[in-house]
Amino acid sequence: MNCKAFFVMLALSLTATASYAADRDYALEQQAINQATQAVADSVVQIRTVGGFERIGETTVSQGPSTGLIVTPDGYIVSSAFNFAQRPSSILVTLPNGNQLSAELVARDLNRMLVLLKVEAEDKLPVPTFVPEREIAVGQWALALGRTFQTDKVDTSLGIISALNRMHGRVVQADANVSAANYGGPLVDIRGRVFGVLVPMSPQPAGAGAESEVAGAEFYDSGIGFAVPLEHVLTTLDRWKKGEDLLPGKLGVALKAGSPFVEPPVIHTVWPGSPAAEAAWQTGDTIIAVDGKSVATQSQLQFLTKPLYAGDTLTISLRRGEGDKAEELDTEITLAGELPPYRHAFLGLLPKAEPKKAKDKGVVVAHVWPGSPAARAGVEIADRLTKINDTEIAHLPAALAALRALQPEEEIKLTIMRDDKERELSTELTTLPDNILTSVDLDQQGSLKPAEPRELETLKLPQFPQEAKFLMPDKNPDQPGLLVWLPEKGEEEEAALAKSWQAVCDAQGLVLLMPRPSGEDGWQFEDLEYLDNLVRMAKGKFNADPQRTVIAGSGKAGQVAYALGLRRADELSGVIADNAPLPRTLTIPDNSPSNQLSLLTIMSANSSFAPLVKQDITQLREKGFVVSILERPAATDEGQLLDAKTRAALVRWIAGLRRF
Amino acid sequence: MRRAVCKWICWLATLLVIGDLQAQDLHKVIRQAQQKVVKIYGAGGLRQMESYQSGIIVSPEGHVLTTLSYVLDTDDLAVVLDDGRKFLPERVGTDPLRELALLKLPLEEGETVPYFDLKQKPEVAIGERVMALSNLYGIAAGDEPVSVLQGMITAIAPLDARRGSFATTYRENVYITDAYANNPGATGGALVNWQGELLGLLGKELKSRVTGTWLNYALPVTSFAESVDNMIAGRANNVEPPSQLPEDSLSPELLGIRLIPDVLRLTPPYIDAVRQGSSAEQAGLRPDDLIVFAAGKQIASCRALVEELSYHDQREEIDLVVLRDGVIVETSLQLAEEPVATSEDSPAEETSTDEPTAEDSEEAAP
Repeated sequence: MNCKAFFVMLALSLTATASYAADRDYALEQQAINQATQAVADSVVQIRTVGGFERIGETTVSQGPSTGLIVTPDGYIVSSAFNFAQRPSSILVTLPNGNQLSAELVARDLNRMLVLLKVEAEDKLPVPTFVPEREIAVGQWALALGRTFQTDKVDTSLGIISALNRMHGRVVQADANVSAANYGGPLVDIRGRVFGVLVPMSPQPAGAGAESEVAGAEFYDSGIGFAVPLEHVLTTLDRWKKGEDLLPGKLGVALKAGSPFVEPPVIHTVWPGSPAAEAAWQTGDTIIAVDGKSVATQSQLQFLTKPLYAGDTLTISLRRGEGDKAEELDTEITLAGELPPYRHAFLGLLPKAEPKKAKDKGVVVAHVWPGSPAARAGVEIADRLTKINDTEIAHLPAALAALRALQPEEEIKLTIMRDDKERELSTELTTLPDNILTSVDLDQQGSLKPAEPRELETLKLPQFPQEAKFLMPDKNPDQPGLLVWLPEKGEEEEAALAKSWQAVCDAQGLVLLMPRPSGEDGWQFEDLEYLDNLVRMAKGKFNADPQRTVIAGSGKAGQVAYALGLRRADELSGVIADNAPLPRTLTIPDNSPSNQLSLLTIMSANSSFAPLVKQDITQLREKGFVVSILERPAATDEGQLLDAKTRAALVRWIAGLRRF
Repeated sequence: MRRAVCKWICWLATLLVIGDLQAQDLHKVIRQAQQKVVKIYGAGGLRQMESYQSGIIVSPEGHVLTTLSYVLDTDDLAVVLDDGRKFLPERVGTDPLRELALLKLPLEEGETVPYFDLKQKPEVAIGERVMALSNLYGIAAGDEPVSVLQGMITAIAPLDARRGSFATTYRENVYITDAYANNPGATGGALVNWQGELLGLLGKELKSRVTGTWLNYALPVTSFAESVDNMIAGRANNVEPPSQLPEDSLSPELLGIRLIPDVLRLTPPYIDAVRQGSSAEQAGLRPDDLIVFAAGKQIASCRALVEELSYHDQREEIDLVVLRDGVIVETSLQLAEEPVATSEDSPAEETSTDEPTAEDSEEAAP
C-alpha cells in the first residue's frame, strides 16, 4: 500500500513539474494523443477464445474479448498470458478491418507472462514501431490501448511512465489504467510508438514456484500497470517462433535464508543435477558477481538473473572458503528451465520425543526404519546420534538441516553414543520411503481401550466467522502432532469423528482439529485463507510438532487439503486425501529442499476417481514428492468415516512422518 | 479497501495536476460546472450502503436529475447546492429502466439556478479528455463544491455489467472513462468535457461482465434527455421490458444440430451430429464444426449457444459462424416452413420424436 502511494505521488510530482515548464495547449495535446492512438490502432487486434476453465485458482477468468498486438507483417501477434490462462480450445483474432481469423498459440513466455499467436493473413499486417529501451524515461506520456470493449475502436487510457526496470528488470511501469480491458495491448508513447505489451505481474516470494499467469491482476486500474518492452519482445522472437515456451532460467540453488536486501547470496543447497551442481558449486559458496557485475545482496542477484531465460549462458563468480583461505572462482552457467525434482535424503531414524531442555546433546533413536541406511549401518533403538559426517548434531533441527545439505546415494559417516561409548558407523543415504510402518515396527501391540468420549473444545479466529472444534490428547504431550480433519457434514460428523479418533489421538499424542467451511456447500477453495490462518494459529497454540502437522479430508475436502498443503509446505508436513484427485486448476509446485511434505492418498476399492488419482500420484512423484498409498474398503452406510483398520494405518503414517 | 484508498490518492493527484495547469481557463470551467452539481443526503448509512449521492441541475427552475436508489427512500431527503444552500426537494418522476429519478428544488417564485442544458449534445470521441464531478465518498461535507477528477473517454460501448450476481437491465452505449469516477456517492454526478459541457450522468458501482473489473462509466445525455423531458412534463416513461423471449424460441435441436455432451460450464460448442434434411444440413454444417458466433454474438460454450438461440424467434434467419479445421466458415440457417406451420403442436413432443438418442436410451434401459 505504501509503495503504491509512493509511486502515484512520484508520478504526480513529475507531471506537475512538466506542466510548470510551459503553457500547455490542450487542443494540441488532445490532437497528439489522438494521432498517437491512431498510429498504433491498426496493429491492435481483438482476441476471442472458446472453451477452457472458468477459474484459475481463486481468480474468475473474464469471459469477454481480450487484446493482442501484431508484431510481424506475416501474422505473429503477441498478447498477455493472462488472456489464455483458462487454456482455451480455440482462439479467434479479429483484425481492425473486421476480418476474423483463427489463431494458433505458438508458445508462451513464462518469464514475462506473454504468449505468441500466429494467424494466416492474406495481406501484410501493419506492424508498429517500438521505443528503444534506452529512450524510455520516467514522466513520458503513456497511452494504454486495448480492443476489448469495442471491436471497431481501441479503448484508451492516459498516464505517464512511472518507473523503469520493475519486477527485477523485466517491465516498465505506467500509471494509466491497466486491466483485463487492455492486457496484451500496447503502451504507446506520444509519438505513436510502442513502449511495450501490457501484462499483469506481481512480485513472487522466493521459492513460491512457477509464476501464475493471473498473478498481479488484482492490482488492475490501481495506478500501477506494467508493460514488457517491445524491443525486448522482438529480440526473443526468433527463439520464440520455434514453438518452445520461453522459461525463466534457473540456477538450481537455495540461498541462505534472510532478508534479500541484506543477506549476501550464500548457497545453502545445491539442487542435484542442476546447472549449479554441474558447475560444482558447493554449500557455503558466496555469489559475488554475475557477468562481471558485482553482487552484494540476494536482491541484486535477482535483478541480474530474473530477466534471463533457460538456455542463456552467464559467468558467475564465487567466493569459496573463509578468511585467508578464501578463493575466488569464475564458473560458466547455462540456466535450466526445469530442474530435476528434488528428493530429500533419508537416513532411517525416528527420533524420541525429548523434553524441551535435554541435558545431553544429540538425537535419541526411538525406532529404526526397517531396511533403511541406518538399519544397514547397525543403528539401534536408544542410540544417541551426535554427528553426521563432521557436523555436530545438537538436536533434531540440526539433524534435519545436516541431511538437507546431503543427497541420496551419498556415503556418510555417523557418530553415535551407545552405553556411553562413542561409535562411528557408515552408510549410503537413500530417498524418503513411501511405505507405512507396521505396528510391530512402532511397538504398538497393545490394543487401545475405548475411553469415555470427552467434550470438544472450540477454537475461533477473530477475523473469520466460523468456529473449529478440537480434541486434546489426554496426556497433554509437550509437542503433540496436529491432525486437521475437514469434516464434510458439520456437527454430527464432528462428534462421530472425535469418537472414532479419541483413542488413537490419546495413544499417539495427536490434537484432532475439525474446522468448518464458511459456506453451506461444504469445503471450497475460498476457505483456503481461513484454513491457512487457522493452521498457523493452532500450531502456535498447541506447540504442535512441525513434522507431524497434517491436513486431511475426503472428496472435495481432500482437494482443499491438497491445495493448502502444496501451497503451504512450509507450514504443513503431510496431506491426507481420501478419494480425492488433485484440484484440476492446481499446478504442482516443485518439491523444495527446505520443506518436507509427504502425501498419503487413500483410495476405496470402487472409487470412480481411481484413474485420476493414479495419474496424480505419478505426477506428484515426478515432482519429487513422497506419496504413500492406502487402500480401504468401499464406503459403507456409515458415510465418510474411515474403518478402524484404515484409521490405524493412517496414524502409523503420521507417526512415521518424524522419520529422517 | 485497497481500491478505495488507491482511488483517493489518485483523486488527490488529479486535483493537484489540474490545479497547476492553466489555472485561469480550467478553473473557470470547473467552477461553472461545479455549480450545477449537487450533493444528495438520504437513507442508508449501513455497511456498504452510503447515505449520500450526487445529482445534476437540469433546469433553471431547479429540477435535479439523480440516480434512482435506496438513498432516495426517505422523507428526510436533502439536496445541498454548491454554495451550501440546503433544500428539501419534491419528487417529480422516475425512470426505472435507466434507474433515474427527477427531483425539484422548492425555489422562490422567479428564482433560478445554474443548470446543464440537456438540449445541447456535444460530440464525444474516444480518447477525449473529460472531468467527473461528484460527491464521491461524501467528503465534500461542508458548504463546499463537489470533487473533480480528470481522465479520458476510454470507450463507448454497451453497458454489460452486473451488481453482485444481477445483470443490469440497461444495455445501451455508455461512456467508459479511465478516471476513478464511480465510487461510493459519485452516482448522479456529471461527466463533462474540458469546455464544461455535460456529456453524461455518472453511473452506479458496477462490475463489467466483459473484463470482470469495476467500471467507471456515465450514461450519455442523449440516452436520458427525452426521459427527463417526459418526467418534467409529467408524462410516463415507456418502460421497455428487458430482453423478453419470443413466443417460439429457436433451439439447436430445431435447427437440426446436436452438440457434444455439455459436461462443463464452458464446454466448447462442437457439433456432434447434424440431422438429415434439417436446416443445419442444408446450410452445410458438419459434425466437429465449432460454433463461434451466433447472430453476431460470440459463443463460448454449449450453454451460451442455447441461451442465444432462445432469444430468437423460429421464423428468424440466423447466422452461425463455425471454425472448421482452423478456417472460419460463415453460414446462414432458416428453419423450413413446416415446423412453423405445425408450431401448435407441443414443441416438446417434436423434439423427442426427432431425438434419436432419447429413444435409443429408452430401449436400452430395460
